[in-house]
Amino acid sequence: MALFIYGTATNTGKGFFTHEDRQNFYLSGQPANVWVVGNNEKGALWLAEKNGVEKTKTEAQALVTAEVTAAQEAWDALSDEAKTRNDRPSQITLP
Amino acid sequence: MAGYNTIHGLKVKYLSADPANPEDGQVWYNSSTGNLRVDGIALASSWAAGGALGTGRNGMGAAGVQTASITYGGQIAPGNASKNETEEYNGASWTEVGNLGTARYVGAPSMLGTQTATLYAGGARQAPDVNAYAFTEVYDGSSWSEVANLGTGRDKLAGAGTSTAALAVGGQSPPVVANVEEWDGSSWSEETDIPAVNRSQSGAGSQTAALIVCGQNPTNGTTLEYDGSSWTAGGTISRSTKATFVGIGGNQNDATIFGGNEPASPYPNLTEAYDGTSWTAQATMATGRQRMAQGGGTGPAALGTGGYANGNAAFTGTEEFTGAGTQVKNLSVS
Repeated sequence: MALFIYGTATNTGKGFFTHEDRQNFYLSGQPANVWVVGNNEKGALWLAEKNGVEKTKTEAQALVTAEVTAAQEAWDALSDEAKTRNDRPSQITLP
Repeated sequence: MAGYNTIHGLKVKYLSADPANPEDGQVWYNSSTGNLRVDGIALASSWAAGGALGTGRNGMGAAGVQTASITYGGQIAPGNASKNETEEYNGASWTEVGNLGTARYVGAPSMLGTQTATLYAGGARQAPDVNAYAFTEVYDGSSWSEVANLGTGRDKLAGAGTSTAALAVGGQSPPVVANVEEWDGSSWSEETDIPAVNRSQSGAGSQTAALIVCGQNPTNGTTLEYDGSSWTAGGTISRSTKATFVGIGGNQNDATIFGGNEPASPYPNLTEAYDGTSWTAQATMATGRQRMAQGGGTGPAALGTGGYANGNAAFTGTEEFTGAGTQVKNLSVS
């Protein structure tokens, strides 16, 4: 069985994930509202309850890469002085 | 079969409500809920979602506690305008209040300030202006007022203390400096420098018992402790000593650091807690970020507010940390 479920969901603020959720399953927020969720019953239920849209790992990775690429392009367009004040965003490889 | 009183030497109390201050291992029956209860079940640390900021940004100052916090200033994206927005948090949602007089980011907040009494010193302007601000402003619960400037204007400095007894440590004017200044409620005075120049470090604690961690200078990445007159080395954090802009909350002997920026890698979600001697790894944040609001929580109840997430420099999310402890739970018997 795969270790993770991938999906998109909008963080609605307080209560979006609770301390109990964090004890019950792995959870990692990524760019483009992508969430990597531990693949167990409670993790799957959490994604469904948050109106999440399940994605394949490849689809989720593409969303993340596109958002980071856009941020990198925005950084590349900065002045040299502004670049010294902010590091270039790094690409992310989903687990 | 032996009963509980035979094994433990005590009878299980029959109570209409949970006792106010149970001891670890204490067992009782709650007749109102019909549950057999026990106190002292180990609870691991964790992060949970808090309310979303009205204005997502990074590099803010903050003060207060997890249920009564304030955050101010910041930046929405590299190269974009600094922000002067101030928002207050009630433990569930953020409300915009009076703006800072001068928009800026990565200044020094009074880390032990409150939602109704905080100070913000220094901070960065926006490109192409490279010289940092020396301005200091104080918030009284409704509005900000300009008070005496720092002796050395700088950004990416660390703060500690309260709105009437604060500390401003290191930073970049440019160049990167080791200056330490103390605020007595009316003016800043130059005090003992940190051992080496540093910027982008994080501060916690009071003016006479401060904690400085991380930063850009690799020779100064270990923990520094201040007693009001001199600096000594504290415990060594386990992560990269080049970590910058880590979130922080707490005191010299009870602090939590989280997130931050490490060279050429996605922003980490690591969390570590300090007990005055050593650092211990804690539960990770859901979303790794750097430049979260500095302050606005305690060690065991820290607040990770906004910041610069991977690919999003104006993150609105908030996470609330609960340190490891014990809890009361129902016992299942069959």
